This record gives sequence, structure tokens and C-alpha cells, in this order.
Amino acid sequence: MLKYVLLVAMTAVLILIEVPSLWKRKQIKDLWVFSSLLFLGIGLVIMRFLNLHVPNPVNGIDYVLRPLAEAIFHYLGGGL
Amino acid sequence: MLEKGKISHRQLTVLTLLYTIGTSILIVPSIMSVFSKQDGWIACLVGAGADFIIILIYGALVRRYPTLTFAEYSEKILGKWLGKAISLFYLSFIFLLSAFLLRVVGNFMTTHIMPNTPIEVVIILFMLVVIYAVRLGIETTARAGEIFLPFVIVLFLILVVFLMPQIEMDRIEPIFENGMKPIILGAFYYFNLQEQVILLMLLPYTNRPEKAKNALLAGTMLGSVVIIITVLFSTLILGTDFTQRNMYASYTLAKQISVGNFLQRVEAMLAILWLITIFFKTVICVYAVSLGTAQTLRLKDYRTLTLPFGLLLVFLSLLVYDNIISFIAFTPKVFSLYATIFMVIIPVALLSIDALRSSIKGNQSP
Repeated sequence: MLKYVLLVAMTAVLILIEVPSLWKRKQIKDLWVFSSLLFLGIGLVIMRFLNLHVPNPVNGIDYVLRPLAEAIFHYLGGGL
Repeated sequence: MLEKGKISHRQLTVLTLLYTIGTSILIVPSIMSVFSKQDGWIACLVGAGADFIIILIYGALVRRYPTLTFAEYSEKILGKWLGKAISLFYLSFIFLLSAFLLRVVGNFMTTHIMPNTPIEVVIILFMLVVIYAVRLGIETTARAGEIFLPFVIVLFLILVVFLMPQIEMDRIEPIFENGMKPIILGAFYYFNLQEQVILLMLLPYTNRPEKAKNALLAGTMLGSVVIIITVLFSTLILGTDFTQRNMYASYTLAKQISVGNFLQRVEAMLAILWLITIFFKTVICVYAVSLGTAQTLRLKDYRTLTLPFGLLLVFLSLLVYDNIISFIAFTPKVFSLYATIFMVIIPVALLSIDALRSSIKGNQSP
């Protein structure tokens, strides 16, 4: 439970730091980007708390580039 | 202009130096000795040479657009939508790299210095300091770099001087035992670990951007000297086998210091040196990704993005590797190829498209 409380507290702090000044200066676009990134982050953290599967970008890169990388390393005779 | 600060020529050199030492000083020796055996230092020399050549190419790109960052001139060269797509692709690389850097800090601290502390705590604390530095802007960071540089140099010189007596020259023999191929492999790896392309995001904020190429070259050269000495010492003092088996070989190297059974256990000095340099590398990367995103999305201030990016980076850094084994499986092989796309292919493509366009325009106008 503690981690959710901490997450909510942290979110409140982040919003308190950024949002009032953005609101005062009427930077609506900045506010949109800020809040969507923040909610993306919070959503992902909650998914991690619930042990849900989050796709790892590294696996995608690994899948695409692995064959070429293996070929280069095989040709140049790397150990490992 | 999103960033009002200005950094001087010398400050850019200092930042480049700290950036080049960055992660490399701790990670490179082990992987170089896996790839190139006892010739790791030659591979580093070749890799540093390749870095100089690519910086000259970046210099040509900077000369065409001295007042714009990488994210801005990709839009100028390729048009609005394709340019934005390339910028975002490039920014995703910097973002992922920042997450890797954070994870490397976490891995090192939890395996060697504070084994009972959860990795999340280390990463979150480090990220807080990084975000604080990024929000203060590049000028403050550059001045902090100037303050920290003497510490880095003194710590490194202490290590070098105290390790001198333990050198055994026969450990780097035979030179060129396996021919050129392993050296090229090591050089390829070393070259791609430097990621000098990210520094292109800082160049418009130097006071004379057209001279910035020289600062990049000088900083890279000094940084490469530090790395090459570290790799050479790892081979000369620990030997190839022992270096291969230690993930953080230069940390083990610092543990070997023993002067008259009196001065011992000074490896924390190397950890401090490395934490300073990786701090600056992470700050530059997070700064570049915040600034680049703000420019691509046409926001008023990049500081708005730093806090949500901090949250996402902490999350991503915990996600990217399950454990150190997957780090070893990914970084040397696939990451170097992935970095090549952004270090070589995209800048060279941008430069040639721009040259082609300006030559077509030049033919039409007269």
C-alpha cells in the first residue's frame, strides 16, 4: 500500500511544481504534453506494481538488429 | 530560443571530456579485452581515430546550420513531417541511452558499493540530482563541469601514479596475435560507445558555434587518452584473462593499489571519478532529449518536460534489462549496431541530402 501512497504523493508534488505556472502563463499545449507524459508514466508504474507485462523496447531492437549484429561479430571473429 | 544560457569554447571542451570518459572508463576495459584480447588499446586508438573522422563530418553539418540544434535542422533539411519523424526517432535513441546510463549506475552501486540498498533507491536519487541539474540549464552544468574537472584529473593521476610499479610489460605481448579483425571489432565497439552525436544538441549554445568542432575534437582526444590509458593499464596489470572476467575491470584495477602495505583500498576514488563523469553524461543526455522534444513539439520551455521524463526514465531503466546477463548479451553486440544508425547513418544522410539540395538550388539561381 505504501508504494501507492508514495506514487500519489510524488504525482501531487510534480503537479504542484509545474502546473500553476503553466496555467498562469496560459501555455495550454505545454500543459497537454506535460499531463499526457505524466499519466503515461504513472500508468506504466502502476502496471509494474501490479506485475503486468510491459513490452520492453530493448527486445524489439534486439529482434530487428540481432541477425546483422551476429553476422558482423561472426565475420570479425569475436569471442563472447 | 528555448535555452538562453551560453557556454564558452573551453566549457564545451570540458563537457566533451567528461562526456567521453563517461561510462567508458568502467565498462570499456573488460569488453575490449573480450573482443581484442591484449590488443584492446590498439582497438581503442583505431576507434578514437574513427571518432575524429565522424566529428569532422558533424563539423560540416554544423557549419551549414550553426545556430540550430540537430532536432531543428533535420526539420529544415527533410521538410516538416519527415524531419519531425527523424527527430523523434533520434530522440528515442537518446532517451533509451539515458535509461541505460541510469541502469549502469544502479548496477554498479548495488553490486560493488552498496549491496544492501535496492536498485530503485539508487536510480531515483541519481535521477533527482540529474533533473535538478537539467532544470538549471546548460550554463550552470558547464560551470559545474569546470569545478569538477580538477578532481577528475587529480583522481585519475593518483591512480596512474600508484599503479605504475605493478606494470608488467610482457602482458601485452604478443601484439597483433590474431590479426586485424578482432581489433576492428573492438574499434567498432569503442567508436559506438562514445555517442558524440548527442553533443550536437549543445553546439548552438556555445558562443562561437562555427569553432565548436575544435572543442569537440580536443575534448574527445583528451577523453580518449584517459580511456586508452585505463585499457592499457588493465591489460598490463591485471592481464587479459582477469580483465575479461571482471565486468568493472578498472574498479578491480584500483583495488590492486598497495603502496608499502599502507595506502590500500582506494578503489572508491575510481568510483567517485566515474560517478562524476557519468553524472555529466546523463545530464547532457537528459538535457538533449528534453530540449529536442520541446523543439520538435514547439513548446515554450523544455523544463516542463524534465519531471515527467524523469519518471519515465526511472521506469524504463528498471525495465530495460532483467539482469546483468541480458545487459552483457545486448550491449556489446546489438547496442553498438543500434548506435551506428544514429552516429553515422542519419548524420551522413542529412549532410548528403542537404549538400544535394543546396547544389540543385545553386544551379537554378544563377
